[in-house]
Amino acid sequence: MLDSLVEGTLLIMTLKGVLMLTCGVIIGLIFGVIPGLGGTTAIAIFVPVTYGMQPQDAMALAGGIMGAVSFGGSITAILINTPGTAPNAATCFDGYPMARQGRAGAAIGAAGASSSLGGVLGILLLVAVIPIAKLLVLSFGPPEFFMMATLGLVCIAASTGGLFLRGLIGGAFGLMLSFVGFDAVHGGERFTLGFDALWDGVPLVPVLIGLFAVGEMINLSISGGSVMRKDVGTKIAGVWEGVVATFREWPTVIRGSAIGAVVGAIPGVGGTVAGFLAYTAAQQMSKDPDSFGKGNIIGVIAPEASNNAKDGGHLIPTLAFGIPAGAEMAVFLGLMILHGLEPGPSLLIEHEAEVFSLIVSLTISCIIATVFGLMVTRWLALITVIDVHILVPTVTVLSLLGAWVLDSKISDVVICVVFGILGYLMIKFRFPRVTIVISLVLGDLAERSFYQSVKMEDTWTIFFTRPISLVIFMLIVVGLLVPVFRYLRTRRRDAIA
Amino acid sequence: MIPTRLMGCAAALVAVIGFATPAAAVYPERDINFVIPFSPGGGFDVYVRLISQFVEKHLPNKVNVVPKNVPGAGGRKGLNQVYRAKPDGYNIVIVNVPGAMIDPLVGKKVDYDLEKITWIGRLSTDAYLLTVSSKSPIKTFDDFKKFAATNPVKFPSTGSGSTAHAMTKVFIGVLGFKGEIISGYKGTKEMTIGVIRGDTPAGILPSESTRKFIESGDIRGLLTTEDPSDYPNVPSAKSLKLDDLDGLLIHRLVAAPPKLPPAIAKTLEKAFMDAMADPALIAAAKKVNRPFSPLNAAQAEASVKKQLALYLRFKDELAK
Amino acid sequence: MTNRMRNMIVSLVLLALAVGYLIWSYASYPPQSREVPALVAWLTIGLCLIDVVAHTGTPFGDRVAGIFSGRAHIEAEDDLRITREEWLSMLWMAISLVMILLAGILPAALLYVFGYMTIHGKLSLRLSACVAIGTTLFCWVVFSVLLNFDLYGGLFFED
Repeated sequence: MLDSLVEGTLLIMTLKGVLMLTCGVIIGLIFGVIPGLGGTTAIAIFVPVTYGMQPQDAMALAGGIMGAVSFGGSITAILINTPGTAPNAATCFDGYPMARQGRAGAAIGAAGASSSLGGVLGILLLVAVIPIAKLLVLSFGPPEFFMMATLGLVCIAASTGGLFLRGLIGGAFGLMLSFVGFDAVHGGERFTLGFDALWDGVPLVPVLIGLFAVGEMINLSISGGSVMRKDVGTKIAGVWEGVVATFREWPTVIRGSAIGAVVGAIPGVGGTVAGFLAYTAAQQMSKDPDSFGKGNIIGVIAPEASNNAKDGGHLIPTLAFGIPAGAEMAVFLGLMILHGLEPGPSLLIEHEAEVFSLIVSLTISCIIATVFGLMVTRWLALITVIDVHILVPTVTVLSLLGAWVLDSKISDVVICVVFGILGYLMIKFRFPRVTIVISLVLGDLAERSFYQSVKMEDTWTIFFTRPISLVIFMLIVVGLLVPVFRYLRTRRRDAIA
Repeated sequence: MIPTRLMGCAAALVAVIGFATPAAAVYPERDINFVIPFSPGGGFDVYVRLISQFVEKHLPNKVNVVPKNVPGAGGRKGLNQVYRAKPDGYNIVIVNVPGAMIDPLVGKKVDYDLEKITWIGRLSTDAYLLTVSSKSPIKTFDDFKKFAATNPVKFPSTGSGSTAHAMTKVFIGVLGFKGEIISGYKGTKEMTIGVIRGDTPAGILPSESTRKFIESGDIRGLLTTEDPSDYPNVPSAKSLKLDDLDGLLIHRLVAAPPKLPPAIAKTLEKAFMDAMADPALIAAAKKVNRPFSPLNAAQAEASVKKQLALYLRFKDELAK
Repeated sequence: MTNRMRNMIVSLVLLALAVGYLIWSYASYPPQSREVPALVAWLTIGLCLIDVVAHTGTPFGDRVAGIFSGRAHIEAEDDLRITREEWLSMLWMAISLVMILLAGILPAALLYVFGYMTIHGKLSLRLSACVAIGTTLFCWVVFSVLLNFDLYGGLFFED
């Protein structure tokens, strides 16, 4: 394996390879930053560009893009509370408050450093796991998917802290929304009111852009001033401080990366959930959970480490079986096939060198993306001091454009605006928005897996007879009980005081 | 001195000829959209992207053939879109037969009519396999028959109304055993993994995407609908005397909106046929294990009619 | 109207929505299809009821609220009245949508940015024009020219 690693590295260390890698990084950063565009769109657009290239150069381009997109997305998440890509949504929670406090530089620095570290750790895990990749992928079946989905839902709700009840309600409504559309299990449309546009369900990204970006734009429009609050001193510099903080919080980085890589490896669950889970885990394990959501830098480090590590995780089922772990991987698979690299059990045997050139370029990309990004952070952070009345219309236009560009459906833009207004109302009435998004992501998976599981053995005890499924179930129970414990603990503390 | 009247007639004649010359003489003048009614990365997507560059090479003028993914509604969205487009030769679509046939056959509302659409040609076909996990005790089709005689057999599928679901129903109906379908798998690959994992004892899977799993030893094929069989150890349906299953294939066809001017249709047909005969494409296709099996427009249309008749026979099974 | 009442209204509205969804699923869909959605609707109704109780202000209600929020005291909330400012901001968002629907993305971008900055933001005409043109140009160049996307042309121009 070691000689393939060397061979793979040499393959891309050509002028063309390095050029492709660098282009990929720049493309990835830009596509990450613009809400609505992301890795999937970037790879899809640049596939034709790779015709006629050598496979390893195409892998360098793809690796460059994939490694950079997440960091690009974190920049918008931090500066204007708009996740550039769905997995960056958790970064908004503490990243944006940091920007409002004038610490945008530190936030971006932390995001960059944790993206790099997370990406590298994710890849190390990938390489370590490749020999047993097949076993891993085969151990997770429909019952495990259902449990994972439910765990995701419960954890996210638990992470909303004092707003747990309303978090659950939001999650429940999100589930109800996720049932809109064509029911794959039983056939037939549900809740679509006859609209063709809803046949595939309520689209996730417009809802995400609407709730977080547009909603925040309405919020800013009312509060006036700039993103950075006027009563805070200007401290745009601090990028280095963010980087240092990341290294200091290395347990968070490792935990976040592990969550990202593991969750990323399970097809269908996705990077968005990984980011939220990492955030929740960091919050629950912190000595000061209430500081999360108010500008705790760990709240940026955890999800950013996770959503880069997920790329390594994504590659596990993709390379081992040719099963795309998500939309981005599906497009990437198409690219591989076009270049003669048929993913599947034999890929790692026949094309080990090309696979390693992908892995190496992904690793290098994570690091270069951070370097590039941090170089321009000082100027990017200036966005936080721009008058809100300039920022709001421009970001709104860009966000709505992003919603349109996904599928060229005007209904997406309508949904975006509707959820934008809803998003603002949720901010006002203190409903967490994140649970709707998670439910929308996981609802479909949960329902399908539930039915598949039950039909597999005609009994619902299947969830408890399979070891992995049972373990995850117990984690769910713990997750549900966390707020109860905290209530009892604060009550006891108050009684003592 | 040419008489004015003669000049006038000549001018009129030139004008008439000029106007009467169909646009095909100048076609194509701009980029052609090649619509893929599915998400990027899937089987249809790969075929379109593979062949597009070669079709460009063989068109009379230099224009691009641009693959455009229009996923949604199980493939109906993209197909509806092109069907309703102007028949000017700038929008073509890749069609999944029998996928596109199933919905109308079971009574679902669609905007297209496969008998009115303009067929350009066929790109490739794919057979279906009856498969089991290699860990399964079922080793041959006879073993399967014995198993199915005493137990209801479960199969995976993507969803009610999908091609996979329909094919599985046909298999169950033809082979005549008690079968149950667990739908909800996200795609063919997930179904394949499900079979390997043992979620279900067997699965009906398309040949091309399952090939590498057979070669790696994860999956065992019990029979294939293609004759002669493409695999050393998998018998064809025909050789097992299951004539009803023989010839049940997926076809990937290229189509354009109805009432396409014949000259434009011919230009497209020729470009596609030349592309598929191009040795460079054949080599590229071989490298990625995606072979082409070309049919020209007339043959494609005849094949479609035959498929339609075939599936009409299974209408009852499908409707269940 | 106190905050508590406003919160209560919100809870009741949500409860009504959940009940409506439940009725919809029973009325329109066969037992198999509606199984899971109906289950979730019941769950939502339960949660909404708890939310209503939590906002009643009674000692029992406060205890319930405490259990679910993990703390013994409920924090004070900002005033929940919807101010004129807020209505205006939401209205501007709706206006952006209407503009896009009528005129298409690029023209709407131009008009909306300019309009918002001058009318709502009360900024100078020159600055507004510059930013509006700049934004529209950016969108056009990046999305339409470089990336070759079709940009929406407005309800009257699309099919």
